[in-house]
Amino acid sequence: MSTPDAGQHRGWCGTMPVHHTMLATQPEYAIARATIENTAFQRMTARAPVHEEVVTIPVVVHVVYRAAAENVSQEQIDSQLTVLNHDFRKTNADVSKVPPVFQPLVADTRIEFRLATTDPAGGTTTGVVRRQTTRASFGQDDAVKFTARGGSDAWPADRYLNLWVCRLDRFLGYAQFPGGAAATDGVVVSHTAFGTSGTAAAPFDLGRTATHEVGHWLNLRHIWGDDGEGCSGDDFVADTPNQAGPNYGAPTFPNPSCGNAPNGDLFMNYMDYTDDRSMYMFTKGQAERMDACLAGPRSSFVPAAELRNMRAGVAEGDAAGEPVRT
Amino acid sequence: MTATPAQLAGDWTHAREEDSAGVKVYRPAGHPLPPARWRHRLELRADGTYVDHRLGADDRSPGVRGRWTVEPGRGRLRLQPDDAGAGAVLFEVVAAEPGRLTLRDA
Ligand SMILES: [Zn+2]
Repeated sequence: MSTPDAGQHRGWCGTMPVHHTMLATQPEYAIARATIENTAFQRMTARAPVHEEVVTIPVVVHVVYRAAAENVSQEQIDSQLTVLNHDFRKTNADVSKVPPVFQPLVADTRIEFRLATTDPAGGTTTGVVRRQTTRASFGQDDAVKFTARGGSDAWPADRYLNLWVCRLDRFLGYAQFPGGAAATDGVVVSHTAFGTSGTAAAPFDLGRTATHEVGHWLNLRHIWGDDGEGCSGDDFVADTPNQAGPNYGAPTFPNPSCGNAPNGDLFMNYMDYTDDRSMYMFTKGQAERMDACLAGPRSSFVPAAELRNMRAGVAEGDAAGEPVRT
Repeated sequence: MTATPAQLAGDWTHAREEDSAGVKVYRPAGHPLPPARWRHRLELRADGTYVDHRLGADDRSPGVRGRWTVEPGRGRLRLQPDDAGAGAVLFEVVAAEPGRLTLRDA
């Protein structure tokens, strides 16, 4: 829906006011988000070079548990890291299920993840923090990210991807976009949707919830454009078809909406809401958008030489607002 | 149908699995539903206020608050956000049974 008339929204279409309200009430966040989007757009129009070397993100997994089952095993954690590395490197076995018409879009993002080996103080670590809590479950209010609220404090967000695993009420996971507060930066995943073993439960037992949330952490938007069921929303990625609302479950190809026939929705994309077995690709446009994030708000994860390459040819007043010495 | 506020008050969650063409089925809090990446939740409180838990861009559900009424005559459910700049949301009440609320975009 693009033209609200008479001040009324039909049913579920009117989600944009929420977004506007959040931005209006948090001006600093709004400014940071605008800068990030301007940079992403600038890189897209300048056809900025994609990064060549693999960028490896150190991960700290905070396991916050009350019941023993919520204290997920090292094996379950490792299975999640394996999925992230397959999905972001296009080495997932199910990428072969991408319909032929969409295969040219599939991206190897050249981003990898490994459990941190050095803690914030410089000591050795397994990259896993285990904390017992008295809280029966957590919601969407970021409590899990603070020790004082029964969770586990974030490690410095410019050096680690914080990944919290806990019992989540009503949600499988949620994320924070770049540009937000460091103390809450990272992703939260329900232990029942984490990794591929242990307490992971079908149909969310292939580790794709974390793939989706980390996509947000790298500034990816939902593939349907976050406008409810409308056709006017945008994910700011050029090669993804316009799509109405989220797809759930396991759709069959083709699944058209918003005049995108005959090929239909890219429901097999990680940034849709399909079941784990039904999502198995990022697009090249999404990889470029994640690159803009790595060249900008998350540049602290990129080696200096690689960062110079990524910023070459892009107009001055670069991503992070801090010039790179050459 | 013409619904009464007493029939509509409750903490409703979308049971997508039970939808049929054009209508959406809601179940009350506590009704067992399979896990999902997201479900719409609509709290219609007895005091006339509501919280509409919308789908956020980061997978959370930012709540829109306001006042809900049943329109006289037509029996439509009207959600009027507190935010003066936001328009009302209207639903046709297809059925309001104990434990099951069926809505259609009005
Ligand atoms: Zn999401």
